[in-house]
Amino acid sequence: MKPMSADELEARLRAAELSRPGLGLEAAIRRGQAAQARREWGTLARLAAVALFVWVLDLAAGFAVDKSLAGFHHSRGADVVARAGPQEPPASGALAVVWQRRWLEQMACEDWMPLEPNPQVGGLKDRDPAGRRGSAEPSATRRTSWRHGGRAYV
Amino acid sequence: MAFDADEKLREAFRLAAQGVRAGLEWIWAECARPLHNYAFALTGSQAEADDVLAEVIAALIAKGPKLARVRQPRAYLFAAVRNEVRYRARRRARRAPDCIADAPNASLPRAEDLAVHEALMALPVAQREVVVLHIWGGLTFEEVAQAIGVSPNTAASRYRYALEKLRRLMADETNER
Repeated sequence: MKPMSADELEARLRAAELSRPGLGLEAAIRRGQAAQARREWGTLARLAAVALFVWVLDLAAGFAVDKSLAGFHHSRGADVVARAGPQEPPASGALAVVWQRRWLEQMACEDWMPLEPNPQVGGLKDRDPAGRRGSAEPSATRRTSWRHGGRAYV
Repeated sequence: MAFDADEKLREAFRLAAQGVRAGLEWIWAECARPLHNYAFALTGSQAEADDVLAEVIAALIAKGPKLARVRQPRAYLFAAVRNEVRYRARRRARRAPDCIADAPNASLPRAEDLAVHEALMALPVAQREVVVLHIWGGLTFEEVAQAIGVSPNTAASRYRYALEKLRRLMADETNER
């Protein structure tokens, strides 16, 4: 049998009906928009689930860090923690706990700061007239430590 | 003639971008069938092709004024169908990996077209889509290439291989009968 030529084959393909839409324009629009709405709700639900998961994770990490903070409280003295009183930030999540830890460290450092001038490290030159730490021009020995989160172990 | 049709389609896109209903109706009248054919060739299912077409039309409406910036509307529409089919396939694969190959053909083809259907479905998807876009979609190889993201030469060679295979398959079919 003689094989079909390319033109004959193309003509036969063109003559064939492959499929036809089962919907009219209106029905297609309605169905498509409903499907898109479902898809958008699905995306929102997934985002919400991810946010919830991150929050729970943060909370769990907060508890873990809080446990480790207990040791810190003991080592730095309960008076520092007690003095923090109502200003102490709530440790509800890891970020809050980390911030709290830094803040407590700072409190502890202030507690240990010598009240008398220490000529070897610049002493009170580091303090502004109001007596706060962090003057515009810290001494050379303190400069590095100021750059590391305000920890001033002298 | 193809140029006229493309110009009209571009105009229809501009109208649809402005929210004019007639633009959408023109797009539907002109392109629904070839788009459905393409979706059917990719999914193998009439029902799924209906869904794909519905979502593409809804996405066109959602695009709004951005539609006016489309330069090759015909290729754009076929690419939209292709993307939608791929999205659905990915989603289905995530949900039930065993059900990817389901695709019951809801409406059977006409008896005289059965051989064409079977031969076409026996082709690899990459070749099948080129044939459908060129024969039933009326796209040039340039437009086919744009719609499926390959070079025009690749599209043309896939078409050539596909025709050779179709000729062989359909000859076998005729001999068997």
